[in-house]
Amino acid sequence: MGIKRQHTEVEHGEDDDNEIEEDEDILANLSAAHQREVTGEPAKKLTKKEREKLYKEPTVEELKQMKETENLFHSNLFRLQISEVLKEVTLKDKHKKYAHNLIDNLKEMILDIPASEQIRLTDTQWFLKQKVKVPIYQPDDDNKGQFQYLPPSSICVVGSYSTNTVVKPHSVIDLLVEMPKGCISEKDNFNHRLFRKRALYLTYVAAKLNKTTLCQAMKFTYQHGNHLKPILNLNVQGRSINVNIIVCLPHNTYKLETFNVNICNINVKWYKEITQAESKDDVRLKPTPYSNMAILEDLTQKTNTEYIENILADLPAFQDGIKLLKIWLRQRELDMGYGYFSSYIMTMYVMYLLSQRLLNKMMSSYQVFRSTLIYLARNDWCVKAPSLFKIKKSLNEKSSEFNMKSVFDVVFLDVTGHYNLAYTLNKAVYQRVLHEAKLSADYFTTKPNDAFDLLLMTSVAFDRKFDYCFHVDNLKSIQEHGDTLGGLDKLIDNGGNYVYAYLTSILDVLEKALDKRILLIQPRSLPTPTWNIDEDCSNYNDINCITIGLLVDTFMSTKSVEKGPTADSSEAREFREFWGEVSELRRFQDGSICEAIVWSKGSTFRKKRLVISKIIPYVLKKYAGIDLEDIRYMGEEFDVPLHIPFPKQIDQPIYGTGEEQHMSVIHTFDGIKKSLRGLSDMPLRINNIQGIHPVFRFTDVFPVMALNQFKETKKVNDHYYPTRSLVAPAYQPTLPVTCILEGSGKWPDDIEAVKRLKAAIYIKISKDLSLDKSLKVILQPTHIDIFKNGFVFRIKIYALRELSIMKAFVTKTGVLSVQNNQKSFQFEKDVIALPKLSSTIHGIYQQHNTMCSAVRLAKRWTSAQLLSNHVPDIVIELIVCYIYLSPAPYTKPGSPGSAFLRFLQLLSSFDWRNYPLMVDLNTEFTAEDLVDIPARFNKEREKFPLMFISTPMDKWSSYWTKDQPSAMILNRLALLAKESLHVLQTQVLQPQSNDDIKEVFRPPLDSYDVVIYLQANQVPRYYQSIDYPKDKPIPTLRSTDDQIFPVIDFDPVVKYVKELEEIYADRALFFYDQYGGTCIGVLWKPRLFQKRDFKVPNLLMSKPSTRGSEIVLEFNLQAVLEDFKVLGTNLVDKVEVKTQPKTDV
Amino acid sequence: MECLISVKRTHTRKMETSGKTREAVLVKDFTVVPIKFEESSCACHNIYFKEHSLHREDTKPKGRTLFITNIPPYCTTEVLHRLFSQFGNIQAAFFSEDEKPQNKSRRNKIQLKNSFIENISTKGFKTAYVLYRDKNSIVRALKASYDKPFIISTPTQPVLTGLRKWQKEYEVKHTDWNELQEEIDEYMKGYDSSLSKKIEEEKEKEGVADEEGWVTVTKHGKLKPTSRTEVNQRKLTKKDRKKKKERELLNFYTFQIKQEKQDRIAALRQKFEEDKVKIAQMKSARKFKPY
Repeated sequence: MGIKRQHTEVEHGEDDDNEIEEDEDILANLSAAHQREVTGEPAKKLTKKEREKLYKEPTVEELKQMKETENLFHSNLFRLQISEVLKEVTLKDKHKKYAHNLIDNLKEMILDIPASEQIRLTDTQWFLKQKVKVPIYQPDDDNKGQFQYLPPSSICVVGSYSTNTVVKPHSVIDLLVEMPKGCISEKDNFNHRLFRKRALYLTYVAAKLNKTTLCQAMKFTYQHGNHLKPILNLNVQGRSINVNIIVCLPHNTYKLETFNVNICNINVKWYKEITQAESKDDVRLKPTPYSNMAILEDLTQKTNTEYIENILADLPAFQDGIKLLKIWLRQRELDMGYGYFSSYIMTMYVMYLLSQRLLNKMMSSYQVFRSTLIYLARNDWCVKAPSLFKIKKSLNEKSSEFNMKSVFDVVFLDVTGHYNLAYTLNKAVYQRVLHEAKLSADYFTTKPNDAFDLLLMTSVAFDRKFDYCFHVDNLKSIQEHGDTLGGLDKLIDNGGNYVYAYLTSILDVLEKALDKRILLIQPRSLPTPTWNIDEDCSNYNDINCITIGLLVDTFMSTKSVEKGPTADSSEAREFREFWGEVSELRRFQDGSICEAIVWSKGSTFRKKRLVISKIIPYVLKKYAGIDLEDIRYMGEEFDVPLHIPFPKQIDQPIYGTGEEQHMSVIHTFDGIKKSLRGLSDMPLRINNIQGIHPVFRFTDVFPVMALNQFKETKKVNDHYYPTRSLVAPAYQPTLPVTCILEGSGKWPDDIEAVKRLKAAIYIKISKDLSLDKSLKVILQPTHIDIFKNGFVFRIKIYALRELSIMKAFVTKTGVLSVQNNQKSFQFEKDVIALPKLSSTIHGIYQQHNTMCSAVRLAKRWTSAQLLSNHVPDIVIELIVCYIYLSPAPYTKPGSPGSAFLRFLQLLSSFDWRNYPLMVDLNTEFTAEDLVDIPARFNKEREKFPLMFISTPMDKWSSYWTKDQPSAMILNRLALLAKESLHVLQTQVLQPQSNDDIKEVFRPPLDSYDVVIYLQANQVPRYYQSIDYPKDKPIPTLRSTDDQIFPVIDFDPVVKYVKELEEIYADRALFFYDQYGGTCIGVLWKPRLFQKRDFKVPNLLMSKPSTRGSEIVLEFNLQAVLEDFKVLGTNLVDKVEVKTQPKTDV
Repeated sequence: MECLISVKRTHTRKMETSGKTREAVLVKDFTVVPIKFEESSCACHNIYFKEHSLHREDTKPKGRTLFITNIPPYCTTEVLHRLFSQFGNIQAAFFSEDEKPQNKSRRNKIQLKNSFIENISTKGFKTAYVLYRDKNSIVRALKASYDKPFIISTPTQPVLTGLRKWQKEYEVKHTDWNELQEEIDEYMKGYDSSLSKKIEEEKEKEGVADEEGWVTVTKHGKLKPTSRTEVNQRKLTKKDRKKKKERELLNFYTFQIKQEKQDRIAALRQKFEEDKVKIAQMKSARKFKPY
């Protein structure tokens, strides 16, 4: 016990005035060494002194601390991290002091407000004079009754401030102003009269406070987004403190039973518009649970608040634990808005767990946090409702819980047993909380190293969390479909707010319709409106758009046929009724005749992904009367950059977004593999044949099209050649294939001789293969090209022996030793690592069918930012793999779009300086690896490249990022990603009619010094460019069986950029887009325009100039610009200088 | 741009460059001559040249060699010939990267051979040497009057750049089976003979003692020795270490147990220190602001 008390004091000394002291307390007694670290002195080797320090006799204090950390916290680091983040979110003492004064002042002011005269409830004239408007929207009613303002019976602070669980930056102080009993008359519980009085009371307070100078910005808003319950929000000028003034009904005026769930407190007649239409129904009295709960919320507030305060007052660890839980909720955007999981519910749940002895008072903040998440994940409130209500006297009470369950989806009973704390909580939102809690609870064990970041530091934004989302505009039509969605009673009960009333029903129908296709469905929280006190209150009918997110099951969601029950079964009728006219009888392959719906006839991946977008509008139209035009389904947008409208051709798959084309290449490749393996009497067997082009692993942005040029080429001896035409011949890349020969001891020790022998094998292979008439073989000394079905495969063979020859060298002492060098590194990378990685990525693709599009989007984007030659493609592929393999804190992306957004998010925020990116291919990293690699990386940071990606097969060598990208490019990438992410987020969450995803695929050109524009006709891949003119034809591609070898690898743009880079490597950087980009950006290297001394090394690209009387050299800009044109004769259109260089002397 | 006023100026001539009057000079021994791609080009590079004066070499004899630098990348040796032959007979002209004047005969064979060797020639602005047959040509070249900039590509002798050049390059690629086979055979023949020569030599040494009495052992003798590779050596040391470890006793003496405990605490402390450093690092990167 002693130990634990000690701990709480150390951990939670925030009441101490001096924060520095607290800091030192936590960082404990070993501070001498700490100071050294902070001052930045390197501590590489232990000096004798340091050694002594490490080995000195431990003090009792220290042992205690260590033991606590072991017992109460996950790890030392976690403990320190938690204390840091708490420090960040906790209110500072000076702010507290200020807040304290403020509250006292406010209290005094409110108490000083004199009583008013009696006015009629509907009379608003009095308020108009005061320039305030009543913040409640009710139908023009004939509510009788009087209102008189009387000074409040009590004012007290409630909520997070009173329990010391405020979390910055949204720190608000809830000031509860209790109306005196005298304001309430007997029959006020009917027809929302209490809400009106509450609002009037608040308005009166607002009007009076408005005359004081204390508060500058006074606004009305809704309590938890509930439009029946306005509150007043005060913002104090110059301070980040907000005060909410909440008016509350006197707690002992009514018996709580008056507002039980099955009691009716609204007369239908009161809801005027309806009574005229349906006069015959006017006598019915249906229960009004929502309105009742909203009143009970007020009536029970005091009891519940006292309950929390009493418990939490002396449990600082719990206060901190609740703060952590709040951060967790907010990172997931779950605590704001109507129908959401407020932090109040969370606090109550912690109380509940404590009352059930599932938590105990000894626990540390970390344990409270962790255990609460675990219990949250394990218990479904929809099945077993938690309850803070202790004494179950009779069956009666139980039945009240039962009644609750029949009305509300989610139930959480409060201390009194009458009030459902979760009465507004939307079931879909609760499911999301459950889902997140399940994910999070696992991180403690599965990802112990990253848990802190994943749980508390990473925001799980709506657009990245959900695979697809759609927006429904123009919700008015829901009103007319009230009958199918829950009836008039619900509408009345919700005070006429049809969105709140019917949203749950709409979600239920959608969930039923989408069934197994989705894993989760959740509406996005509607922003709670705020408005100035002299403005009209916001009308709930103004809510004109709801956003719903879907998490899909990637395999089920793409099924284009919905198979129902067999025709003769009893469920068939129900099925037909639910789906209506789209359901029809179909005979299936297994002979059964079933009810079924065919949503899509196309078979491309692109079409399949859109099946859901067909179901949703149908269901919404049928059940809620929402028109197709009012639904905007976000998902198709991300296919646009990958889609090329190729004309349909015989023997060719429809292009769609290109997935199918990959397959057709691989199919041809399989044939070639077979031919190669079938070669007889080869001197050595071919052990391994692996295609290393992206197309073989489904990651080629625009997969190779089968092709045989006949346009813009000339034919000489069964070869096509480029001609001097004005249009470039179509581009056909060769597809590299690596073949590894079986091992043999007979290879010579001389690398040149090995090359000759390999050439001899090439001759043999090409002689053998040319007997096959379906393909054409072209021999080169270093490889062979095979032309088949319109694709060209470039075969290179290797013997592993080559590697040992490259590495071998004889040391001075005569020992034969191996040493890595540039050549061997390149060999390992190209011949061993790349084929292996290729097949692994192919394997990952087979598990995640959306990855193909996601990788290609990411690559397309990177290239579109003109970074084709600065970021290796394989790096982008690895990053996208990471997003699929380590999706935490999300789940695996189920759409290319969500994966792409997460990719941008990662690029924009990843801290490459301090962390390695651990891509756990095939989950082969061991637990030690996950600790050791980052640790060693941190220790020996300089030894690793700027961007360090580690995979289980390539833990340390970082083959792919060794040379590129540079620091500048990495920064630029992050910046561009941030911009693009921002644009896309807005497009996904608040779509406008003129939105265009292409916007983020257009490079900004203003940051370059010079831009070289190319002639589009000479850019062979121009048709792939993002803004290819619609009226221009796509170059016809034709697959023929004729034997003329096409023009291969002939892309003038690539050649041009390569030449520029070779010539001007140390003067400028060049940026281009390999996918049909028609401009090249040039950035001069820094200090290029400085004048230099007249010395031989400085002569290149210079012209003489003067500095005073001295002759010096300066960069010959004009001539170099002229060179750009000369080197790209017939390709370059114009060279434009964007920024005039400053010549500094 | 009237810019070059120099103490070292020895020689001044007027010349026309893109409509402006400009003085070409000798700056610090270098003659500066503007050069442009074709008649219609509007901007000029400057090439700098002087007599090659560094140590004597066979390929660059003193007094007859011109050292030229800042030659634009599209300039070929043919162009150099054309530009500098106006001052006298040229024996050879070559870029410093290539060093040796190219042998034009058997070009096809050389190309084949080159295709086995990775292309390492650097592109960019080049430096070249021009060897005159006659010493006077140097003087003429340095003292000639450069009224007009040099033109690299003329209508009669065009230099290909850009698209045309790449098209031409594309057309050259071709390999004949027989020629390739011939080249391979030739090379392997040479390789085999040098290899057998080496084996002969080793065999000769086998078993023969030198002056101090050391006997060379090669793999061609009767008793084949283990080869001296790193792997084999490592194996040996590993064995030694293993043996040593087996002899040690662990957790046996009190001091060992105590030591172990101390080590554990020290390790914990060490880790604590490291964690603090990490936290300080994250703090400075503002890692703890949740949103």
